[in-house]
Amino acid sequence: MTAQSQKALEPVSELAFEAIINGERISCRIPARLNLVDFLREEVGLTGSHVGCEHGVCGACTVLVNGQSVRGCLMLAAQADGANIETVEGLHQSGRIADLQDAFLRHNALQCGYCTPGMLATLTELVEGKKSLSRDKIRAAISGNYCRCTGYQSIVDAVAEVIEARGGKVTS
Amino acid sequence: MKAADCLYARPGTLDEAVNLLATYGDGASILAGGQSLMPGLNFRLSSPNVLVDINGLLQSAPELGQIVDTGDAIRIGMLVRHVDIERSDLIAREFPMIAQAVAFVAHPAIRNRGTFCGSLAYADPAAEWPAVCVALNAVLTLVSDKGSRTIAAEDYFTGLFESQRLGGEIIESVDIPKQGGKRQHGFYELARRHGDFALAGVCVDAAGREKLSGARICFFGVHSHACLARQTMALVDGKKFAEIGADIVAAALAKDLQPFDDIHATSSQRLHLAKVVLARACEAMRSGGSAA
Repeated sequence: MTAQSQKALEPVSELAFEAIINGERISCRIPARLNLVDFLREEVGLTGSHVGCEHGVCGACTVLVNGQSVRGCLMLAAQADGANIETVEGLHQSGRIADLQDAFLRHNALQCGYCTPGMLATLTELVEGKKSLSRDKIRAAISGNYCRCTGYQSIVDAVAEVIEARGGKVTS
Repeated sequence: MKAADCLYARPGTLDEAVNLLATYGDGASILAGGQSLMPGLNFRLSSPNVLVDINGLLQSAPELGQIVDTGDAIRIGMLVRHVDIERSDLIAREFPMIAQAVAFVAHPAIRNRGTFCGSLAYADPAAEWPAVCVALNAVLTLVSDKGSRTIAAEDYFTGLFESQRLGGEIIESVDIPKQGGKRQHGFYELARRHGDFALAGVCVDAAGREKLSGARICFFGVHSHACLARQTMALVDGKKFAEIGADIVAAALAKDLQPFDDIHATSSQRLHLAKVVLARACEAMRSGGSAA
């Protein structure tokens, strides 16, 4: 191992970070221990993603990294270096979830809204390209996004409507 | 609360990774999927000095992220994620039990990041993969700066979150021997909510669908670690499960399992649930249906 590569491997307490966040290139330095959702909220000002349990079960922090839903609380920002990150703000601005948002409003699939950004991130991944799905499968997919307000039925209704409107089929 | 201050390293090769672990010893933790490590950091249950992020190893060694047919076995690489298992036609064909079990592993966002080998390293008593590996006779390959070694899954798990993995070792891959359709599987898990850690679960691997010959049975969620339930296996060997008296099964289970009391269930509840999940797994095997 060369002296240079040895140096490159030395553990660091803060490091350079660059990623595409909601279509915009962001470059900065970050502490090693900072997790992704705290980075997005505190450093980038994207407060749409929420912090709940901080151990991965509630789903409020769910965002998309390279198109996949992930827990923002269980990923170091450092691990998202070089990635394509989408939060609810970006999903809204791009229009990608317009039908989900519309269906959510009409079905009363949100009340306080705390779970909603994480729920929408999970659902963006779920509804994309789905030809057929059962309501049970929808429930299984959102089982990691806790909602204290709605009782979930309206959320499942909204998702079912969107899948069918996009050309898929939802069985009971 | 938030994670404590720590250092972070991102090795690009397996050599670099094991050298970092050797250098920093007990002060280093491996960061793979992070779905079990990060909660520990966030709650300060653990405060490693150095996080060794091994996700970068995929660039120099893409085979670490692959599920491969080696001829004798299916090899699951170090960085294969639960979602890769979920999407694998090879796994679905060779080990229907694994394809069935993956739906029980946490939730989609967790499955997108968490790794199969990471689950074995963490050795949570309520996790599915350790029990699946024990039941299916899997062999782990461990690698360190001193070289590599193999160990059978049934010898690997030794206690609550404890295993034979030494500090400085990384699980490089897991080999599950192919069965050529000669074995049947049963799997059943009970949890309060979908995706929760199991209250009780069982993996059954046997030569017959109805007569459980040469059965390998491993429970999860009801004992400190994944291990073969040998008294129960001896009891059911060559028999039809439905023909064995429930109290005889319960007696064998009580010898094999030492369930714990916690906020989710008492030890006697867990022992009862062990009997329930075993009965349901065997019934699913017998009827050829899914055990979900």
